[in-house]
Amino acid sequence: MTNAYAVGAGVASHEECTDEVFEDPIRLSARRALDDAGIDRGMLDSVVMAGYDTEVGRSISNMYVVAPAGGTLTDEARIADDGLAALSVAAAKLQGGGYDTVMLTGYGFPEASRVQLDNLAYDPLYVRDTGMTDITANALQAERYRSEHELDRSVPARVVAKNRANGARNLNAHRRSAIGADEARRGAVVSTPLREHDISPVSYGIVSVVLTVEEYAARYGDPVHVESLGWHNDTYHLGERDLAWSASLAAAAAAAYEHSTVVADPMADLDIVELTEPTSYHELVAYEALGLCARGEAAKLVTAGRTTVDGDLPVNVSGGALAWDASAAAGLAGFVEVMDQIRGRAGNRQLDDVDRGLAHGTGRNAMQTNAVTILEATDV
Amino acid sequence: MSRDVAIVGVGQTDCVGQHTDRSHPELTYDAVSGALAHAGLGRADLDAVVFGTMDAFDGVNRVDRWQAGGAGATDTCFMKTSTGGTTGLSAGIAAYQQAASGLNGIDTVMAVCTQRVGESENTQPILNTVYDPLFDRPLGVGAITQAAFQATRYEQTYGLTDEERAAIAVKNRQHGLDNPHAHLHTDIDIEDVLASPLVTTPFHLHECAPSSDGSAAVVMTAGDRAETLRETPAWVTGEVEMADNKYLGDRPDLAYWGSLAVAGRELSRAVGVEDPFEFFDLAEFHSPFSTREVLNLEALGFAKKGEAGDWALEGVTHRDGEMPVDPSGGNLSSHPIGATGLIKLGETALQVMGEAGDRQVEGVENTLAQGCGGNIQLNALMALSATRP
Repeated sequence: MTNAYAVGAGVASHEECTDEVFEDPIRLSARRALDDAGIDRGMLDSVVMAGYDTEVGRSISNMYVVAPAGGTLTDEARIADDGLAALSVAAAKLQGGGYDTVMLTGYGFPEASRVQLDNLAYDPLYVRDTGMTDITANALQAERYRSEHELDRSVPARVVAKNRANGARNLNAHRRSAIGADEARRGAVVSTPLREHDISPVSYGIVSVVLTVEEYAARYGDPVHVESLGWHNDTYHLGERDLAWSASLAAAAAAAYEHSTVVADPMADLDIVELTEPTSYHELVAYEALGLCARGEAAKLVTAGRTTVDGDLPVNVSGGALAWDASAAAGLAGFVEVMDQIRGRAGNRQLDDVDRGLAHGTGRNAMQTNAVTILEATDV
Repeated sequence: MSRDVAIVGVGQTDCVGQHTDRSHPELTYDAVSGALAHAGLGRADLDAVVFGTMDAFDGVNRVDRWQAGGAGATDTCFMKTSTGGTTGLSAGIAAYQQAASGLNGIDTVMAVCTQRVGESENTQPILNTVYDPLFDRPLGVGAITQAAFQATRYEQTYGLTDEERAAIAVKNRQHGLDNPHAHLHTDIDIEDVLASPLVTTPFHLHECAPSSDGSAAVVMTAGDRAETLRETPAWVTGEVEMADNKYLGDRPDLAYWGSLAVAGRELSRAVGVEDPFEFFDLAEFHSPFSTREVLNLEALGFAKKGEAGDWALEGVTHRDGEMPVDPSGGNLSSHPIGATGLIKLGETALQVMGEAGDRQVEGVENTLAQGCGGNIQLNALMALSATRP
């Protein structure tokens, strides 16, 4: 159990970010989160930010973000990873005392070439010259998973169709057209086995969440409890990992479950899951690492339709990262989807009877870093 | 509720212009293994690791991912912070808050920062990208020019002579002579400083920090365990991290560092400090330019406005003075930017432990470490004590 309660959410969509000066959609997102919580920025004790300098083309990019996110002469912290990893920083502040209300803002604002930058993330001595990028690293993982489990090509295509159909109903998303599984299967090959629709887009997006402690959560209209969380890191070197699996995601999930009082069997106990899947294959890897099914069984969940919006555990109701991958904001986008589903504010995507859900964020290099959180309805 | 947390291990590499015999993870490994050995702990004792660096200076994107092995952070909770020159203290504060909160049962946390400024041909174009791309960036402004604005404004307001500025550089470089990890080990005097090339008015070369490669690591643990690991653990008694307005021109008075003063008062309230000059036995400041030491002393309440200018010249801030500042040699002796703040934190911890070797100040009970980054926008402070809070 954590002492963090989400009381406000604000999103600047892909469309609202494009052709705007960096700071403006940050202000828009934070303003919406503050308005949702019904507070002014003067109530914030800290602003915690998540984003990558290199992608936004600005060194120490939190310098640009902190004021529009609500913090001047305010405590601030910044993590260069997904926003859900930064959630642990905010949660530690709230749990440790001295902080009552925290703004958590994730920013994805791709103003530099992701392909080039992703190559620069590989060590300059051995790997960089191979031309490795995030896409090729993801392709290696996807191919490893495919061959390990003799995966039929129709399965990731069905994941694409599911997420894109869901994303078509999400006004914040980047790719807002539904496509069928057949079309996904026919997409151009980018890096074997990945085809164009298998890969998440390079999107803009800012997501802000206002978090507070139990004592104050009761004063807000609609708090959602950050019931537990976990974050974990894998080895950097792809050759040292079992790529048909994600050990760090499994460890992050295990930590979240261990510290949760409400989730013992995730498939039975969760009402919604929001993933940051860099490719359609990674959604399958994530099902298994999250313990929604045994290893090698993810395809069965997909073919049985159990993770569609009508299934027994809807996954990526927002469309997931395949519809909108706003980099460091992606995990928080899923967080807000789960939060809104619990609060009954998910509009045309609202599911019935959502009391608790799981959100996942990840940090590239074939999901080297992962963060998982469980949100739950609360009566405080 | 917050738990008591102490630093129990410190490790650092030597700072040099370029570590040509070490890869990034190897440099990180050297600092981390040093800190673990100092604490008498192993990798398996770490519940979480916080890494700090500035990617662009090292020429590697998301360089933390590569460091994970060297940091002992594969298969554990790991995160990376990056806040310019503040990075080292940001990592220290994040590590402290994790241990203090007990979140997910975390007790023992490593903060580690590695920076290889030697990989950059010139850091100033990188620093230039912290400025607004539409209005400020084309002016070519960077770390040196922004500090020069501050220094010039101070000199116009309160007066500061060339000798007073140069004495700050001489004092820090003299301190650095006794620090085996310092980058610059040259004995200079006031005349040498003023004879060195003018970089930008008013700073001469010796008044500016070097570009260093280096890594530092600090291990913290919560509760009674700290007392079993060290005779005198360095207890964290307060921390604050605060952001100022981004635009230099919108700050009320560059001759007085208002936002740092606000941060300092917040820290003083948390720690229970009435008079910083009396309370703290030494300070490790983030002063990459000579004048910055004066602004730090005045903003943090060690001196009144306009009164700290001659302290280095008069010996007040020397290691054996009334208020020792930067006994390690400070930024003017070593400056691996994203690691500097953690070096400061580690140095103050060693002073509290009484393990600072030739740079030890006598009778240290309470210390202050500072980190500063961005366009002098982001300030972080941490106070340590030999006495458990």
